[in-house]
Amino acid sequence: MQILNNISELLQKGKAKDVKVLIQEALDKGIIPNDILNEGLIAGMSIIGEKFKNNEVYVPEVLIAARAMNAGLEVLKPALKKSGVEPIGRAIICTVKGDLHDIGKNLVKMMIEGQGIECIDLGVDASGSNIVDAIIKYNPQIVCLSALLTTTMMAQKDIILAITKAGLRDKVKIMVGGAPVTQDFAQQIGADLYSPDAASAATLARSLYK
Amino acid sequence: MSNIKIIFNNNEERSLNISNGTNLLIGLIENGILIPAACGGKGLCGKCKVRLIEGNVTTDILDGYFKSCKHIVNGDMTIGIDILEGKGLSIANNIDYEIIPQLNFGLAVDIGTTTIVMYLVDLSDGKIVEVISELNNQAMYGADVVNRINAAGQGQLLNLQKIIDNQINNAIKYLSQKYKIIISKVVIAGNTTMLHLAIGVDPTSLGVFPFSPIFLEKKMLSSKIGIDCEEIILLPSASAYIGSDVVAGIISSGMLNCKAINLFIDIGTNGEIVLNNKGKLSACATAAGPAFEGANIEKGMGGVSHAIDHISYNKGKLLYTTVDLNPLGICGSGLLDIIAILINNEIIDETGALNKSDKNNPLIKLIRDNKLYITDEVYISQKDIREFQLAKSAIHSGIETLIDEAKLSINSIDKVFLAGGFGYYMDNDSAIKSGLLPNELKDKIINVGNSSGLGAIMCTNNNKYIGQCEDIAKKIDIIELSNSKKFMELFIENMSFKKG
Repeated sequence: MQILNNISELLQKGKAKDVKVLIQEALDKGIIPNDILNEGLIAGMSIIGEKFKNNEVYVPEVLIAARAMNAGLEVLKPALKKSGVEPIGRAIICTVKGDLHDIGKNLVKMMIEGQGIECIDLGVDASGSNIVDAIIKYNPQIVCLSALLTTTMMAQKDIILAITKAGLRDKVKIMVGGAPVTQDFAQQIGADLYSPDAASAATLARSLYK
Repeated sequence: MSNIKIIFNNNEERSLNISNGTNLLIGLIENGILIPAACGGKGLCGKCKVRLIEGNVTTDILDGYFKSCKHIVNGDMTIGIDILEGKGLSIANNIDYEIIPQLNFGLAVDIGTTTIVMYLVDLSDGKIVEVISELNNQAMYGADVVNRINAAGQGQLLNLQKIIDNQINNAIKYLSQKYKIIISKVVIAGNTTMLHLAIGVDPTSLGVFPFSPIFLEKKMLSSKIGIDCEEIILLPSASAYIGSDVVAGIISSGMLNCKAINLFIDIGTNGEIVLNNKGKLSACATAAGPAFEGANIEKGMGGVSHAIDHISYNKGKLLYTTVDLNPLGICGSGLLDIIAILINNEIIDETGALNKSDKNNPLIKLIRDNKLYITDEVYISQKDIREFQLAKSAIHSGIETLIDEAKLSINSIDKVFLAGGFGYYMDNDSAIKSGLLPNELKDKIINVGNSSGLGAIMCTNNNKYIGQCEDIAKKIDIIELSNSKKFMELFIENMSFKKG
């Protein structure tokens, strides 16, 4: 549908206001809210994610696009709720203990949200007990752990151990990422999933619900 | 055991026996062959590549080279290794300082993460007799301090200490014999991590929030710590990331002699920025990453032989110079130039994307597969540009945040004292054009070279300056950027390039 394509394109350009206007227009035309979400917003965010992966766009453009996505969601959410559409799942995300870097974590969060998954953000410097508490409280299917430093990546292991110790390991899939993290390292510390960039993280998260 | 034969680029040969099952990079290091491994041997950076001449390897071979950190020794082989030479950094020795004549000689040492520079000082007249500049051999444990801290935490602390102490001891031995003199004191400036490692203090706590150092104060030590000299002085640091190299640099740059508002900036893997607001000092450190040292740039290298160090553009052609010999890669100053040229000619757009739309632009012809080729071999890729955007934004945003915290405007800055090797060799216009430094600082830059080394020399000559260092180290107000909201906002904003 042309209007949904337009929403996707405007989102990619980060035109938050225009995205809002077009979503309202689409709703007024009687287009199903879930289609607006999937073929407009999520489609646009997926394209941005793919371009980011290929270095065609960079952090600022992704953030601007994500802002447009959130603006669009504001308009769309009441309609989604009315038609009984719920998020497809829930994830929690954080930067691990000892590490304060949050740009990468925020990108992953926005991309995951862009896949229609609710994402609870525990912020930076998060400890094992913070995460255990959050798993109990929010009951997520996925836990995403970010570490940007070689000195803090071991905290990912500590957190996985804490989750195991709390008896919650089988309840969640654990995804790790961050500049120094590799597939090998992810396996070594007993993580379920590894992704080298934000777009792959989102695709991977989405694939768990299929 | 396997026999590993090594042929160096100067045609020297060596033969080693390394146990089967050993990682080749580690085997080479243990035999004293120092190969830089920017990522610390994780197989990510490709800087530890060696040439396969004969034998089989357990990893991929590309254009005849393979990553030594990815090969497990399992049979005899012959490999080629290129040892690259660094160049010494001049010190801008135009500031007057007082000398108290003393007997004997002193060694002023500046331990940088990438380079170690040692100055033999005749204490009778303060003259510099000889300068030794070498790459810091700890580079095999990673290019940046975080990798070194990590290695120290994983049982390599003693090795890291030995490496740096050996470099100093070799210089002491060589200079003492050459000039038939006694070196009676060694004065060391360095970043806080390097100082911890030099005397074998575990720096682990420097690597994680809240970044607590084990010591910052001046240390007076004897040869027991591992450096062969009767008196060893470690100059005082101000915080985990504002080391005595910065403190010594503040003294020697002359920034304190100015009553106006000025900045001191040392750009390296970490950028340190100091603001002197009419005598009130504040400072921040910003993690630029090792892009300017070439570590995460595909064809990047340090400012060593074979590195393209300057590039200009004339009538559709890129012209370049190298530090020495034929070009094999590009160093920080060259990277800055090519980025500035590509912005000027609209090959890089504001977002940092390579723009291939103008088919008449002669630079377009140099782009193949999202890489712009400067020579047949040396290129800059789209990914490199992204790495550069992170690095330049970290420095640029650090400067703006520090000035903002002091409630000043950037226009109120009178002078900028630019320190460090990269700052010395880079083109100031390229630094402005590429967005590394704010445009407002354009005509205010004074390149002070190795200010840390000069500060150490001053302290070697006269204890008064050590006292000054101690005063300054205590006085500096440290601005922590890692939890500054303002910095994060600016960091994202400044990743883009500005036109005009």
